[in-house]
Amino acid sequence: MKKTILEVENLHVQLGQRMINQDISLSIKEGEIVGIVGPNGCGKTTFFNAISGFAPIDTGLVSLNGVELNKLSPHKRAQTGLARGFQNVGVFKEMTLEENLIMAIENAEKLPWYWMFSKKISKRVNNKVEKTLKEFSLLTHKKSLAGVLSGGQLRLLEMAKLKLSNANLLLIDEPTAGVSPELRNELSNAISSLSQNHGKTVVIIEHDLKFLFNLVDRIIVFVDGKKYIEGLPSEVQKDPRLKEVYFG
Amino acid sequence: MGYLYDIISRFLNHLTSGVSGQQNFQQAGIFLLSLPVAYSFSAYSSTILNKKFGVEIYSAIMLGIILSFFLGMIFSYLYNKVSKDSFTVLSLSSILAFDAFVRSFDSLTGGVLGISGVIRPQLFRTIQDLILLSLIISIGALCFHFIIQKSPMGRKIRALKEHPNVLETLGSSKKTTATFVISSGFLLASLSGILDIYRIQFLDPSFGGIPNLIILLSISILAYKPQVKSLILATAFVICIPELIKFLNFPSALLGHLRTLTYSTLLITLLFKLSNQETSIKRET
Repeated sequence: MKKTILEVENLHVQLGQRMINQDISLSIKEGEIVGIVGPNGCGKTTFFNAISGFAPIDTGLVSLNGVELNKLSPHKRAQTGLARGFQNVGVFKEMTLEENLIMAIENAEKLPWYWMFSKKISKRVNNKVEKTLKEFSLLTHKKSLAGVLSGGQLRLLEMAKLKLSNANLLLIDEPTAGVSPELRNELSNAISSLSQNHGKTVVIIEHDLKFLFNLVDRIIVFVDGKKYIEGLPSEVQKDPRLKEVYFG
Repeated sequence: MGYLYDIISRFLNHLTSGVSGQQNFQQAGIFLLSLPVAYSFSAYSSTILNKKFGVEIYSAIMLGIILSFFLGMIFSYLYNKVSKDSFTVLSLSSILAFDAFVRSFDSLTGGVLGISGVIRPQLFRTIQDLILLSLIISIGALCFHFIIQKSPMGRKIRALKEHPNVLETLGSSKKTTATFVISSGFLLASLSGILDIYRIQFLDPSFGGIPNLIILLSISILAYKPQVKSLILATAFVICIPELIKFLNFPSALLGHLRTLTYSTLLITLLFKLSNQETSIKRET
């Protein structure tokens, strides 16, 4: 029996006068890849924001690795084991690829502030950066600013950062946005590898259903801020309610 | 020779406060326009403590710096509580508020007439000694700048400007990072203010204020890259440019205004160039 990583109970998120998420309960097991789909404005990103601490939780309970997150600030939640990808790519475009990964390593390994003056640590960090960049086919851009990368390469860099974090739960928001069809396979492999080879649990918001159905273990469909359908990709794909959600 | 010493001293003092300007404006993207308040506040508080309350001079200097640092902590708190735009307005208005305070409480601050006869302590009685002290402090400030750039904090500061939420998701607090930048900025600006008051040995409401802010902004924009070298060159350029006016035959009463006008024109030009540069970068990406 796999351990539950994320537990959400009766989550309600209200922004202004509008209730964005209503009575959402779900649990995510260790090593799973779970996809969240739903029409625009159904509260998928707000759900991620509520879990990661960027949107206030009205009522309900969110716990990660057995720790209640509700009152923790976003960086404390990250320290509890949560990492997050963003819709508009969570990388620093004015930093080099190397610096982006160094930041992830510094935080994950809690390196001392003077580490760059220690040859031993510098060598270890450099090896880790190069190995990761190679794994994500970005090694040739090591010293380039992230801002010069294509949309797909930026996403791969984001995945590389997520891999280096010490988080065991990754929330990835629309990874295929701005990614060419050729790079989508590579991105899909990278996300699979995060789960299979690096032991991460992944929750993905995605509009590209084909991409998602081939990648995930479980699908959750949101409609009007509520959990509408939940099941295996093969089951959800056949569910007539899915067509109803997307095509009316 | 006195003129040259004066320029060197000004250059070194602005170099010290330039580090805080560079870190706040350029790297962290924090429009801490109240840096001149730290500059004036430390000078006023140490002078008042010494002259009005009889506190021993070195203790008064230390207290002035510590009080300024605490003022910086208050600004850090405010930065973390209000929006970025509100903070910019708030920090700018603090210059005006401090100016109004200084002008109004003349029993304490000397009002518009200021406080004259600020005597240098024994340790830096001559201008040469003061320059040596300024040099040591500015080298310290540059070392601090260099180490910060190379350290995790330097990356966090840059991350704060570009993507504060991503910084948080990495496990670093944006509030702690901002507090570090603002309070260290106040500390450096206060050091610069203390050294400058012992250079001119006279304190009035025009000490610091908007002209000081314009100089700081010009240095930060010119320096652009977070490098020690570019900061030194930018400070040298900003300090030397208005000195050229001295060699033109303007009436002496006009020189002070022309200096301010030169700095303002320089700042407008720099802002114009910077916005063009950023627009073209955005188009390319």
